Parts: sequence; structure tokens; C-alpha cells
Amino acid sequence: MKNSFIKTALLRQYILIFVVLLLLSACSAVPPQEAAHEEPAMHPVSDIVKDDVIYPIDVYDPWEGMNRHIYIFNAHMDDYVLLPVLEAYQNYVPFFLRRGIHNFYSNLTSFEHTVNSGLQLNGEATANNGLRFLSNSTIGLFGVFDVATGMGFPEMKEDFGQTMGYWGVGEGPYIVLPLLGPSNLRDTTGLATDFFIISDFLLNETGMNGNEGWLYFYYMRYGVDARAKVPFRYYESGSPFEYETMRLLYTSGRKVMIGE
Amino acid sequence: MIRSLSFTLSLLLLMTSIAAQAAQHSKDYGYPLDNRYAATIIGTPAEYKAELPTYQQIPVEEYTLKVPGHREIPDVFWYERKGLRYAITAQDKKAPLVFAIAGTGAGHRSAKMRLFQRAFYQAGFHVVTLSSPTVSNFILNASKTAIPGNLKDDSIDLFQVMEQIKNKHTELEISDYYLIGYSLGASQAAFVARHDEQKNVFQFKKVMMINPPLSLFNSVSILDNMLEDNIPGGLDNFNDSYNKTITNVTAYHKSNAKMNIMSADFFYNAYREKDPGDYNMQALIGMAFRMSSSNMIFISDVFNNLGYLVPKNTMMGKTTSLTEYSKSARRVGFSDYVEEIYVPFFIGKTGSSKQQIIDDSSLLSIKDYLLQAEHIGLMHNLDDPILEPGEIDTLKGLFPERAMIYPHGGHCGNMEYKDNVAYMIDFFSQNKKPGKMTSGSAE
Repeated sequence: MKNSFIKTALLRQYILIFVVLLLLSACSAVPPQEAAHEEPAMHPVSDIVKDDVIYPIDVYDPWEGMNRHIYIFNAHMDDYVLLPVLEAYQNYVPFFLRRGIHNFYSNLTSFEHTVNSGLQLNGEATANNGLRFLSNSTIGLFGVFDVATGMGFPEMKEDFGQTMGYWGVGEGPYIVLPLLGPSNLRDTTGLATDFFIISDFLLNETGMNGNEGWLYFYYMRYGVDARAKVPFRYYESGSPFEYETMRLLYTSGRKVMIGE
Repeated sequence: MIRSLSFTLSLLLLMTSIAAQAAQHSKDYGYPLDNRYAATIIGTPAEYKAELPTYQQIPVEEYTLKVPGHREIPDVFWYERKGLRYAITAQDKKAPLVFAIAGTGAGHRSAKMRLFQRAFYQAGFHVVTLSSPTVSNFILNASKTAIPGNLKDDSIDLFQVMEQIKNKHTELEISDYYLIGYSLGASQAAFVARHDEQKNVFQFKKVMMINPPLSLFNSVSILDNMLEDNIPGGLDNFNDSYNKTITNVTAYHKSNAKMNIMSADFFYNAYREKDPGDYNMQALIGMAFRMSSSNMIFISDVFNNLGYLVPKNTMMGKTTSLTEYSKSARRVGFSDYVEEIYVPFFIGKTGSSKQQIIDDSSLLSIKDYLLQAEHIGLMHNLDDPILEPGEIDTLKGLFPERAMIYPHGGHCGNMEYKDNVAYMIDFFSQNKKPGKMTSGSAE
């Protein structure tokens, strides 16, 4: 009973997020306001950019206005919340402990990877991820030690966004997610589904019933860990076109991961 | 989600299709990549890197600096308003201090700057890392003209920043000053050292220049051509090349599913399995340079209201879409900027002739200084692809008995190789005169 209540609550949260996303999507991108009376630039866009040429930088981004606002929001969150939390975590928690915590939670993600490899009918990855999960959960003492990598079962990341991509679902509009950064409609749906799978697993299979606080801790830790692994810093690329570049890199990177 | 970003960033480094290539190395030098383009792109494979503490193990502190009398930064570059960013990795006792200057398009936190921090911190130096005067943070916060590319002017800007840092951080106990830079940062290091001879602020004990161009404008035109000559069908067909690259990386990733695409040697392994061909690698190097130079040109254009790519007085805010300008900026070469913006500006500023302005972009313009500056050393590679044939010999001649020329390494590809790191540290730590590497003949 309690589980289904929590699931309903989680589902409500996703719906709320989507509604907010849709409302925000009302703001469209602001084009540059070129002053009417000025002479054209020495190399105006209209002379260089052609209609019949395809530019990789043109990723489908109908919600660019909203996305750019969220990009800036994320940069501020990074500066004032995420990076300071990360720094404190790295400064005050010793390395062996951080690694243990990292391994323990990563092991749970191996479960998600196994499910998604299976859904993509990928025998090799399913076996790899399944054996990884099993060996780390047992010999690796509930995942605290990563013994599987040494045994020849490295992490092979497969998420539900990749699963949908495998089955031919297009990426849809580009979305910048609050805190999490670059995504698209397909991968955002995938993220919500994975969230659901792992929540279900944690609540039902690990005997965590009645300890939902633990679940929130899991996602907090997931956030810190995910941020820690990426050396990226907002606005340090030295490029005024960082938003466009990240958009292209995310989109291309996902294509490679999905193997389209 | 965020995780895939770091992979995607490295993807840019391999827009190539990939032929078996046996690494052959010279007997005396163990750096494994003897293809100049591959070396430039891949750098040093993990097992060949110098053993150094990790970045997380050294005490790097980030700071910002407000340079007095600087112009207001427009809304579209709002994120640069905090000031000039730099970092200090300090010893807890009195120690010599190294200033490090980044190469074109690189910030103070780039991978090669981290190498300097790790190597010199371990060797007992304080390390101050500075962004290249070609990146937005520097142009907007510390450049007086905001027309980057002038070795003399940019170096005076750097010098003043260094002076301000020295005065601000009185907590540092400093015994002596050292200076190092790579690529364009190396050329600037020479000019900074020369400027200091007049000002007597730092009195650098040693200065190390790694892979500088001999003539900035020659190297820039080589890099411009690497892109424009190597995209089949010209830049309008860039999308085809790009898609082909993604397809090739995807295929490689698929057939090596257990290999972590984010691991340091993914691209080295891919390259060893299938050589992408020189023209693809040249295109990639040219593209990386084009991205840096077009960023620089756009910023300089908007900040100075030049009306070059963006019409004068165009209103752009924090969330204005810049996608169309990114397309037009990527089509303008650095050489175009030199011809159309840079040269006219400096003719106006200095009254010099065009030829004089171009000559000033070469290390030959300070030949007399370099020839007698016994504390300045050169580290370079015979096969550096940004040099014209013969330029390496001219460079060697500028640093008599002070040039270390490796047989290969491309452009800065071997900086992390153990011999190179050991040489840098030796050059600074001991007062010995630099030796000569077996070099063979150029080309």
C-alpha cells in the first residue's frame, strides 16, 4: 500500500515537471536586435549563411528561449550550490570512503543498465551488466568494492533514453534540464522512466520499505557523484557560442552511444 | 546525462574516420606517435605520461582579478563580469614561482596548464596559471585594445596582470620568478621577459618556450588552410564530413563496446587500429583552431563595436540566440581578420606600415634580444605542423645552445611525455645549460 502511494506521489511529481516545462516553453528565443538605421556588417550573416546548406550546429531547439534561461540558472546553481557542496564533500570525506559510497550506488545503477541492455536485445551487454551487478553485490560486499571491472565486466552504460533510441524513437526537441543540463524530449522521458525503475527496485527489492528518505539520499548522492565526474565548468570554454556547442556535442554524443 | 558530456567534449577531438599504423619511434626518444597530426590531436597516451600527482592532489586555488580602468562588459558576455580568472598552486613555504601562459584559445584551467601545475608543484614551485590573451575572459577583462594577436601589446597586458597578482598575493613567499608558455603563450613569454628587462619587476631566472610559432601569421595561415583545404567539397559540405565522423566513431564504439569511451586512451587505441588519414586529421586540427579564432573574432567585434560580423549597435542580451552568428563566425578565417581588422587597426594606432606590422608578429622581430638571452630556453619538435619548412632551423638559430628539439611530437603533443616533463623541470630546477636532443633532419 505504502509503495503504491509513493509511486503515485512520484508520478505526480513527473507530471508537474512536464507541465512546468510546457508552460516555460512559451518563451521563445530572442533574436539579436540589429539596429535598423545601421549599415550592415562587413560580413553580414545573410552573405555567408545559405538556406540550402545544412549546418550541424542547427539542432532542433524550438524551446531555445526557455533552454537558455535554464542554462543560466544551472550556471548559477553550479557556482552557488553544486560546486561548493562538491568541494566540501571532497575536502571532508576521505577518498576511500567516497570511493566506497560511489561504488555502492553505482552498483545499483548496474541494475538499471542490465534492464536497459535487455530491452535492447543486446545479449553481450545484458550478460556483462547482469554479471557485474551479481558479482559486485556478492563478492563486492553489496557493491562497496568494484570487483567486476577486474573480472572483465566493466560498466556498459545503457539508459532508457538509449533503449528508446534503439527502438527508433527520435530525439525530439532539445531540452536543458534544471540542474542536470543538456537533454532532449526522448532522453528526458527516458530519465523519468529510469528513475521509476530504480525507485521501484530500491523500494521493493532491497527491503527499504518505509525508508523513503534513503531514496532521496540516493538521488542527492547521484547528483553529487555525476557532477564530480565531469570537469566541465560553465562559461569557461572561452566561447561565446558555448550554448550552441554544448547542444551539438550532447546531440552527437548520444547518437554515438545509441549507435544510430 | 551530465556524464555523457565529458565524452562528447572529447568527441570533438576525433572527427575522423579511422588504417593500421605501426608506431615507429626513434631510438633515442620513446614518444610513441610519429605522425605529426596524430600527435597533435591525441597528445601523450597514458602509459607514456610523466608520473605526477593528480590535479585533485594538489592545492589549486582559483581567484579573480579586476584590472583597473577597464571598459564595461556588455550583457551578452555577462558571465565574464566577475573579472580575470587565474589560479595559484602554492607551496606552504618560501619557494620559486612559475608564471604559466596558455596557448591560443586555452584558458588557465586547460589540460596543459594543469600539467604545469602538477609538474612544477611537485618540483617545489608555486605555480600561477594565466589564460591566453586570445580567450574571452582575458580579452574582456585585461586587454587594452581588445584586438588580440599583437605580441607586444598582449604581452604588456600579461605583464601588468602578473604584476598585479604579485602585489595582491603578499602571503606568498617567493624566492625567484620563472616563466613558461606553450604555443602562442611561448611567444608571449619571450615578449614578457623582454619587457621585464626594462621594468625590472620579476628578473626571471629562467624562461621556457614550448612549441612557439616563428611567425604568428605564417602559422595562422597554415592552420586556416588545414581546415579549408581538407573538407571535401568545401566548407559548405562540412555537415557531410561531420556526419561521416560521427558514423565512424559510432562504428568503432560499437565494435569495442566494453571500452570506455571516456577513458584516456580511447582515441589512441582507435587510431592504432585504423588510421584516419592525414587529411582528416588536418581538417580536425584546422577546425579546432577555427573554433578558437572565430570565438575571439566575434568577441572583439562585439566588444569594440566594429561592425565586422555583427552590425554596429546590435542589441544582444543574456539569452539572445547567437546561433546564426556562430555560423558566420566559423566561416571567417584568422587571416581574414588580420587583413580586415587587425592590420588597419594597428596602422591607425602605430603609424607603422603593413609590412612592419606583419614582421612584428614574428620572433625574428626580437632576434637580438633572444640571441643574447641565456636564461631563455626553447623546447620544440622537428615535425611541428604549424611551422613552414625551414622555420624550425631558424628557431634553433635564435636559441644557440639553448634549443631542445625532439624528433617528433607534433604541435605540443609530447608535452606530457615523461622525458619532456623531466626536461622542463631540470631546466628550471638546476642551473645547467640545456642540452641538445638528437634531431635528425627536418622533414
